[in-house]
Parts: sequence; C-alpha cells; structure tokens
Amino acid sequence: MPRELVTLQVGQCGNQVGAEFWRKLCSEHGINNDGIVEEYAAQSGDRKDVFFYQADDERYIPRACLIDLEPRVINGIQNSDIRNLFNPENIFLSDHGGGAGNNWASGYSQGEGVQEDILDMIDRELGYSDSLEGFTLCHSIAGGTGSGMGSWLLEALNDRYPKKLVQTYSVFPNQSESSDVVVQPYNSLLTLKRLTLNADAVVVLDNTALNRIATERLHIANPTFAQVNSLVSTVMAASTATLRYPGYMNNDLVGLLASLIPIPQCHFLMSGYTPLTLDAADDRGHGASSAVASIVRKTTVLDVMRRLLQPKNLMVSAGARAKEYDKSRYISILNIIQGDVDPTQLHQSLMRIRERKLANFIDWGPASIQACWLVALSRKSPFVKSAHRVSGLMLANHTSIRHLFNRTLSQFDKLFKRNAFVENYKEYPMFHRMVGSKLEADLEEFEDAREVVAALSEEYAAAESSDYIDRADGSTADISTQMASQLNLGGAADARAPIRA
Amino acid sequence: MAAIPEHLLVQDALQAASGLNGRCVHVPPPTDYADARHVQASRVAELGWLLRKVEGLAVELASLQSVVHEALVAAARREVSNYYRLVAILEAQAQRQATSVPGDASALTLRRLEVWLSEPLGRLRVLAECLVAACGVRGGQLINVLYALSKHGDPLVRKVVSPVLEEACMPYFKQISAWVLNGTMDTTNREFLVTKEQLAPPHCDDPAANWRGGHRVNAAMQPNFMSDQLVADIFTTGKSIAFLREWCGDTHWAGAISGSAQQLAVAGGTYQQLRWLETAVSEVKGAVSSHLLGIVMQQHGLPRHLAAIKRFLLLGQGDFVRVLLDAAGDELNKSAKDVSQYILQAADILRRVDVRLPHGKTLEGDLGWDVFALQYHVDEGPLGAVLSPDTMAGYLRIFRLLWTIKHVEVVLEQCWSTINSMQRGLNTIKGQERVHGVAVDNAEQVPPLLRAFHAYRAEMASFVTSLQYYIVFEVLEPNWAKLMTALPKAADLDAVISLHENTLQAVATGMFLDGLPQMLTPLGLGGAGAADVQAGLRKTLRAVLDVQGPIQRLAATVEQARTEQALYLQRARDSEAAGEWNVESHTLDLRMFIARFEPQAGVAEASSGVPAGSE
Repeated sequence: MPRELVTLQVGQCGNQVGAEFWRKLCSEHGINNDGIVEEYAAQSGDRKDVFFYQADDERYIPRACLIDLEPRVINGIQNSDIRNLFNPENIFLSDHGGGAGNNWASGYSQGEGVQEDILDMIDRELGYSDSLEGFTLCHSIAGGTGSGMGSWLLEALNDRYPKKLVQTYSVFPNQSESSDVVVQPYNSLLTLKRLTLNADAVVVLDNTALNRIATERLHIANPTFAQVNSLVSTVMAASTATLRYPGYMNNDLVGLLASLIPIPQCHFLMSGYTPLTLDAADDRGHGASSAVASIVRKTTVLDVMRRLLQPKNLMVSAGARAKEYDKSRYISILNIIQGDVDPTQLHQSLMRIRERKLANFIDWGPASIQACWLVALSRKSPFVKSAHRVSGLMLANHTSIRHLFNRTLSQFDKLFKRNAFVENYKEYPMFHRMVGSKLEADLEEFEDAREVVAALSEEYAAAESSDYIDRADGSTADISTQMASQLNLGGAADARAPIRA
Repeated sequence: MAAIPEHLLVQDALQAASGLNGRCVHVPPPTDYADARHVQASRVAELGWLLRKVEGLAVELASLQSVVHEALVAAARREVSNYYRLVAILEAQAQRQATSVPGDASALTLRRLEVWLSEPLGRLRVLAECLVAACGVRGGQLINVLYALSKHGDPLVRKVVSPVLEEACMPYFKQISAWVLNGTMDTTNREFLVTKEQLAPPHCDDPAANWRGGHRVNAAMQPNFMSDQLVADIFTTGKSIAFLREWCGDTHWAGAISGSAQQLAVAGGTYQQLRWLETAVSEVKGAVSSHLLGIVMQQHGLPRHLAAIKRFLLLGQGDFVRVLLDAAGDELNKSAKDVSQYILQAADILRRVDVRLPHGKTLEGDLGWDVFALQYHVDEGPLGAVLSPDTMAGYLRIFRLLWTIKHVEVVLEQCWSTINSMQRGLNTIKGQERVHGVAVDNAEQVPPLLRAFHAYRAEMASFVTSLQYYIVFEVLEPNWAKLMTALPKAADLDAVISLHENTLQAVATGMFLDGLPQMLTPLGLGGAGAADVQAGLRKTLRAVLDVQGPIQRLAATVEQARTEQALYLQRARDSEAAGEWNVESHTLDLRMFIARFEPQAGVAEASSGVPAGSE
C-alpha cells in the first residue's frame, strides 16, 4: 500500500549516519531495539511502512541494506544495542574486509566485482515492498567505499531500476582542515559526476558546516562522530517527516522533490535545521548533553521560518554560502515545520516573511514566490520528548552550492595538474587501457568527471541570471511557442505568457 | 294579563329562566310586551334563552372531541349547574310564597327576581359569548380567544372568563408537559402547538429530514401569552426526545431529565405560572439537549466521523489519496462508462468509504477521473441528522475538485520523473557516444527542449501548488479549525447542524463551489457567480493534464534512440567479433517528434477565446 523507500548505506560514514537515522526513526515511531512496537505506540496512526516492513513475527524491520568493504563499523552496529534491528541478510561485507583504502577506483571496481551479490540483496529487499518509490543512499563522497562503491551503485540502480527515484544523503568532506585523505578531491569529483548524472536529488551534508554548527552553535569543542552524525540523522528524519506522518500535501518523495527541483541537473539541496540543540541533535543521550544548555526556547512558526533562513543554521559551509552572495539565488525552498502548529498561523507567517523579502529567488521561475517557497506541516512524534514546541527543517535549492563544486574543482585541478597520486587509480580498469601489451594510464574518466561537474556549476551560475530560459537557441524558442499554443496556455488570450520565449 | 298574580308570574318567570315555556312567559321572550312587568318577566326569560343556547352549544362543542373544548364545556356546565342551583332555591321560595299570605314584605316579586338573577344573567351572557366564540376555533386558538376575553374591560367578564380560561388551559398544558417530558402528543386533533408531519419516502427514512421536518410548530395554535422563546424551547425539547426514542434507540433520556421533570409537573398548571413554566421547560431542554448531544458526540462519535471525513473525503490523509490514485489510476483512465465500480471497490478502501460512480449521468468524453467520487457511509441514526444527504452531497462536490487537483498534481509529478529519466537516458546516450564514438544526431536539441518542458511543468506545478495552499491553508483548515472549536460548545443538536452546514458552505464558497449541489455533473459545478471561476479552473486543470502527452512522446523518442544506440553497439560488437566492418548509421530524428507535435487545428482556437484572425 505505501510508497516504500529502501535505504542503502554504503561505507563507514554511510553506515554510521544510517545507524543513527534508524535509531531516530525507531524512537519517533516507538519501535524498540528489537523492532517491536512499544505498547504506548500501538495506536499512533503514523506510517511506519514507508521505511519498515513487518516480519511475520510482528517485528518491524528497516528497509535497509548495510554495505561496506571493511567490517569495523558494521561489526560495531552488530554489537550495539540495535544489533537485532536489521535483517542479517541485508548486511554485505566484502570477503577480504580490507576496505577500499580511500580509493574511489578501488571501491568502484570492488562494487562491480560483487555486483551480483549486492543486486540480489537489493532485489530480495524489494520483494518486501508493494510499490517501491525509490532508493535513499547514505554515503560520504570523499573516502573509498562510500564514494567509489556508492558511485557504482548509483549507476547500477539507474540501469536496473530506471523508473525508481534515487535520492542521496551525501556527506561532503571537511574542507576547512587538511584532510588525512589526500586524494579526497579525486574521490569527490568522481562521485559528484555520478551524483549529477545518476541521482534525482542529493541532500548535501557538508562536514565543514556540521562541525562548525557543533562547535559554534552547540558549543562542543571537539565534536565526536556520533554527535555530528546525530545532526545528520536529525535532518534525515525531519526531511522524511511528511512521508511518515502524512498530511494533505507532500506525502511522497516525488512530490517533495518535484517541487524542489525545477531543473533536473540542479538537484543538490542544502539543508538547515532549527532549533539546533543537543535535544534535537541527540535525544538518546549520546555524548555530553547535560553540559550544554539548549540555545533556543521561544519557538513560533515565524521564528522558525526566519531562523531557517539564517546562514548560521545552514548545513553548508560558509565559504560556499558567502561567496558572491548578492548574485546567489534560491531556486526553491521547502520548509518542513513539525510540531504543534495552527495551520492558519503557518500561512500568516509565510505572508509576513514574504513581505520582508528575506530570500532572493531566481527571477525566471514561476511568478509567485509562494510556489518556490513550500511549507509542509507535519506532526511531531509523540514519543520523543523535546523542549521545543515547533521545529523546522529547510531544504533549499540554492545557486551558491556551485561554490562548493568550484572548490572541489580547484582542489582537483591542483592535484591533477601535477598528476599527483594518479598511480593509485591506474591499477583499476577504468583508468587504464591496453596499448598493445602495455598498460597505459587512461585518465579520461577524470577529465569527463571534471567536465560534468564544471557543467553543473555553470548550470547553477546560469540559473542566477534572469535570461536563463532565453539563452536557449532560437529553435527552442520556436518549440516553446508551439508548445504554448498546443497546451492552450500561452497565445493571444493570455498576456502573461508562461515562458518568455 | 293584568290579572295575573305576582307569585304566578314569578313562578312562570322562574320556569322561563330554566329554559321552559311558562303559561305567560315564553322563551324566547316575545318583543311586544307592553306591561312593565312583562318586560321584567321577559328579561328573566332571556336567561332561559341563554341557557338553551349555552346548553346547545355545549353539546355541539362537546361533540368536537377536542380536549380544550371539552374543558371549556366542563367549565360552562359547572357554571350552568351553579345557575340551576340558584334557580332551584328561588323556585322553592316561590313555591312557599304561593301558599303563604300575599303582601309579605319578603315575598319574591318579579322585581326581586330580576335583581336576584341579574348577575347570573351577566355571567350567562359572557358564557354564551365564550361558547359562540369557541365555535370557529380549535385548541390554542380557543385559548387565545378566551385569553383575549380575560383581558376584557368589564370586571364581570374577567371574573367569568378567568376560571374558564384556566380550565381550558389545563389540557393544553398537560399536552405541553407530555410533549416536553415524553415527546408524545395527541395527534387526533391538530390543535396542539406542535404537529407531526408525515414525510414521503425517501425522506421518511432520513434522520436529517425527520429532525428538520418531522415536527413543526403550528403557529396558529400558539397561545399569545407564550413567548416565541418558550415555544421554541418546548418544540426543541419534545423533538429531541422524539428523536432520541425513534432514531437513537435511546432509553436513558428519562433518567437524564427526571430532575427537571418533577419541577415541570409542579409547574404544569396554568398560564398564570408561565414564568415558572419557562424556567422548567428551559431546564428540561438543557438536560435533553445535552443528553442528545452526548449521544451524538460521544456515543456515536460525531467528531470521529468528521475527522474521518476530513481524512478521506477532504483528502486530508495524503497517503490514502496516493494509494487510491495508484490503485484506481489505470481503471480511471478509461472512458467514464467503461469504468467498473467493482474493480475500483476491490481497491483496499476502508469500511465506510466507498467508491461511487453516478449511473446514467456521465457525459460523452468524460474519463473515469471526471466522475469518480468517494462516498462516506453514515449508517447510525442520529449522525444522519448532522451528516445529512444534503451535506454529504456538499462534501462530494468539494471532494471532486480536490480530487481533480490531486490528479493533476500526480500527473505533474509523473512528468517530472519522466523528464528526469529522459535526462538520464540522454546521459547514457552521451556517455556511449563518448566511449564508443556512436553519435546520435539531433540529440543536442533535446536538452533545451527538456528545459522548456521543465519550465512549463514548474509553472503548472506552481499554479497547482498555490491553488492547494490556498485551499488548504486559507479555506479548509481555518474553517475546519473554527468548526472544531465551536463544536464542543454547541448547546443543542440544531446548533451542531447549523455549525456543520455553515462550515461546509464556507468551504464550498472558498473553493468557488457556491451553492450546495443539485446535480453531479463534473463540469457543471457551482452557482452563477462561481461558474466563471469554476470553468476557468477546470479548463486550466485540463490544460495541465494535456502536458503529459508531449512529454511522454518525447520520452518515448529518447528511449527509442537509446535502445537503438544500444542495439547498434551490440550489432557492432557482434560484427566486430565476426570480423566484419559495420557501416550502418542511425539518427534520433527530433524533427519527427516536432512534426507530431504540431498544433492540431481548432484546439488552440477553441480554448484561447480569441478568433484566429484577430491579429
């Protein structure tokens, strides 16, 4: 009956974030660590079946596949309090357990190598759903497994399930400090190509910003992985709230994404969350929550919506946000407001915020700002105690995200100009070819990936200008006019032609 | 005549006063008496005439079988028998006198007799007047007549009428208290304040129609001394009890009102205790109303049903709509008359919600989408009073617009997915081109086209979203919230009904669906003012649905190109393996697509509203 989503968590980061996400969902739905619904949650009227299926013994099992090339994180999950939650058949660990060594090419080629196992596992998982809506991929783009194997998986999903949606939660590397993974720019770029070409939507989780939020907003000197992952899982859980607590609108993924992504290539979404407290970041008591007082108490819808626009609550690094700020535009915004909210209040808040013109929108898009600026209301889980009446998540399609790509491009260029570290990649089939009997490096894949990412960045830049639609050549304009008359939307009767063709 | 002795004359007169003809005094008195004594005797005889009249009228009125008249007759008869007693005493005196000595100072003379009988004469006159007035009227009207007389300027009239009025009121008030305490009434004579109406089928099985029209206040029978408020209270109370008994199968109402009932029984006397009656009735009314409300709201769970209606009929639960759209989609794309209700019902829909397809009303060219509707079954008696067929028809009308909008939204989402997979198909084509050098002609023309499609889609989606925002946040939710706050505070069932109806009306008006429905034709919605908006909205939504075709055709073209390219590569690999040289080429012919895309004559003109040659 529902439109199910299968979550694929790949690599260390993906599995850590994923585990937090499932913890969060369980606590919101009143499901205990063994997958049994607590008595108090039996009649809650929420929709568990989007993310869980029910086994014969009444246990709720996450629709999740846990995939990694090295055992540490997954073993950790299997030894943790939620060890009984997942279907053991849905856990894939490579036989050798040696990981991908932070090498995209290794991850990708190992993915290809075990494709039958993985695709069988996914097929089997799909057997538990009636009308699968799509896949959610959790991974990081900088390492080896999440990026390389994740990239292979994205292509494989496209190939095998072309009609299904693919959404990713992609953790972008921390660019503010020197990374221990020197080939991070290579890995990121190669993954970005797949995210651009093979995913429908990418929720960008910028580690730089997550760490900044943890230190600046939550006052944690040295945020742990668990704390940062908890922030991520909060965003993930909130972004799926309307799917799990259905209301009048936005009850399926395609509805959410279609409204956020008017141009298919430009599908990289920023996220913001408020109130950011350790309550929100960590309701299960991991870490030192007692040390930190909650920062925001007074919460009205208007406050929440205004705060979501503040850059400091955005989970995208400042470098990307602030650059050429005047030029950058929102393509769309979706606010998911959770909690005890009077629907009429919501509308008034939106009106007031619109009056103040706090957000710059693209000026070629649909005329009314209201359409770009979507607000969804969702219930809050009754089982999770929170100090806050109202909380809000923002998913925004903002052109400034291109600076993040540009930064990756320039870091890539620095390495690639010197052909640094390409030896690591050369041993994998995608990066070499046989010339006679000699093995030669073939770096065309790098160049192609660079081209794709650069084009993506340009597409976002183009979207900032008001003649975005017009810059198409003449023939398209003709087609548009024809289309307009065909669809009875433009023409002489309507002075406001739908497209400035 | 002059020779007639006084005492004989007196006896004769007394006989006449009892309504009998005497030797020289006749009833009715002749008019040609010359003698003064004759005049006196004839005055006495008037009594006899009045008496005959009163008795005649009493018999006549008693035969009406009206309780109020009976009470009046009883009062009159008592008055008459009082009078007879007086006459008997006087007669006894006159008898004694006939044997005694004439000239007795205390003897009953004609003059004395006249004095004795002058008061009864007045009383009988008034009584006769009352009875005459009572002839043309019934029940409450009679009480009004008597009440008017009881306010007469003549104290004698007041004195006579007051007890009669009181007596006549008695059965009327008894009926009131039976009605107020039991919801029952005497239906034989339509002389009571409330009348029971016989409803014609199908209304006789409809609780709403029964609540609304099952009983009526008979204004003609309303005593003038009762305020409209009191009448309304009486009416509502009895109606509520009748409703409780007939439609709720409830037996506990008696207990609920027993406290107030005793008070009413004490009060239940006469019109002079009106104020007491007012308080007592309003107390009973309060008790009954809250009992009835308790049954409707708690026992039958009206709020629960309203919530369900909001979830299903008003599409509040989005995932349900989604499931319905998914389950019904294929079937509904058929033309309206081919859609099978059976298949739709097989879709797993909750118990009370049912699919409804109007029979024989479908218009040519309608798809299943246009006529599809959901029905919410209300089978529990008292709920039907609130969720009446009329209001359900109103919901249906709202549902259809919401449904259409949802359908459009889903189509636009499908378009988005289609465009996205097209984009990916192009990526594949481009990738293969790069890797294997197999170019696809005209492929570079597709992305700008896609962008144009996407922009169109976004524009349309923006319209549909704005429309939904408007409907949800400015129409549905605020009105519904208002209803939900007001509902627990409603004093009686009537208040609940009118709250519900007003909400529905407000929502319908907000959604340009002015006026509740008479017909279920999909395109002819709305009252006069709303017709234009409606028509425009429908046309726009139709136009949005039309975007699907071109996008799917383009997607098919791209998909075809991709498949061809893949096949070509396969063949190339095969021939390479066979050691042959492949020189075949192929193109993705975008022009083919554009040719299929040319505007069809008439379509654009028909809906643009501007003649083709106007430029």
